[in-house]
Amino acid sequence: MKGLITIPVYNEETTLPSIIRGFRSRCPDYHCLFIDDGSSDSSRALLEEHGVAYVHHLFNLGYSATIQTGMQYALDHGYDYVVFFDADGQHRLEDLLTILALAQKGESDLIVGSRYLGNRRNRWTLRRAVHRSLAGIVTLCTGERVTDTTCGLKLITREFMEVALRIPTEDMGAELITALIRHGARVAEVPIEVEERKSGTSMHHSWKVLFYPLKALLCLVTAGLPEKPPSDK
Amino acid sequence: MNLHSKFVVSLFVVALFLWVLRLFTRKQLNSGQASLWLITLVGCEVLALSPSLADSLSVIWGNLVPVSWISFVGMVLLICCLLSQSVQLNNLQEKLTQMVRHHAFLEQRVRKLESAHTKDTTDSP
Repeated sequence: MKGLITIPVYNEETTLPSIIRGFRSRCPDYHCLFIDDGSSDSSRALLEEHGVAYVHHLFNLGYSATIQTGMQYALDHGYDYVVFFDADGQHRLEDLLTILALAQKGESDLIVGSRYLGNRRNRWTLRRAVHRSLAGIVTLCTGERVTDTTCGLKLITREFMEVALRIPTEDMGAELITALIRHGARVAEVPIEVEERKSGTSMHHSWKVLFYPLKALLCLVTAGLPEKPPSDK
Repeated sequence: MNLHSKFVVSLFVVALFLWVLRLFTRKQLNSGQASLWLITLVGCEVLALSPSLADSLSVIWGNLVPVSWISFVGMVLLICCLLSQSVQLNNLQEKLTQMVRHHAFLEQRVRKLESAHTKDTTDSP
């Protein structure tokens, strides 16, 4: 099976060099594609300098659009699956390799990294409460046990990349997982560890952590609606 | 409403009418949007010239005070207008996203072709 690792990048100049070095030393046999989502810092120059494969959005489109770019690229270039790995230095390559090994077995269509599987951390925060609540709702809606919907580390097979691009999902967390499960995706979760963020800010920072659940819940409603037939436009 | 007020309101509506026409001729408004605004302004002009019509309409509506009726209709129109603009904005955002993605893929292909070309020219004797 031919897989593509995509790394969405947005203003990650401090972590990018170590991420690139890590991929070169630990995953030399895998194809990696960096997606620069219109960074305003030197991220693009770093990608160019290190000679890695990358695509560049003219301006910032947001995380969901970047994920969709990765899926579109993987489909266009005949990859069997795509894995998403954050460039902020929080994900560990060990966890990525575990997910890749699981993908080779071909038993799952959607593999999601979970920070909460196995009670690895007990510290409760508002963000964690929101994440766990959303995961609970997804579990209720789909009947599949999901413990973490917002983790950026996930793998999707070709068949379900097509589904994900056909039903334009706006939230790449709860909505995407719900929609794919409803379309018959076999989901698996892998316990992962996340490192503390070394620089930059999370996309769910400050007030956004309160706004995000509302948005995600709205998206979940649409994930349950029947699929719209393709228009001729 | 006295004659002076009627005149001022009518003049204001006519000015808006001309402004919409000007925006249309300069292609800053498309024909669909311009027509909608012009119809709305014609309605405003009719109400400005014959305020008794507003009285009758408010009675038909359910004995509202004419001013309340006009405010209500105006607010409904504004909400419809804002919603339609939101939909259009969303459609444009979707198109823009696709264009940016397409551009990103093309740019990557150009980069690949350029590096292959550079390699070829350095390899050739």
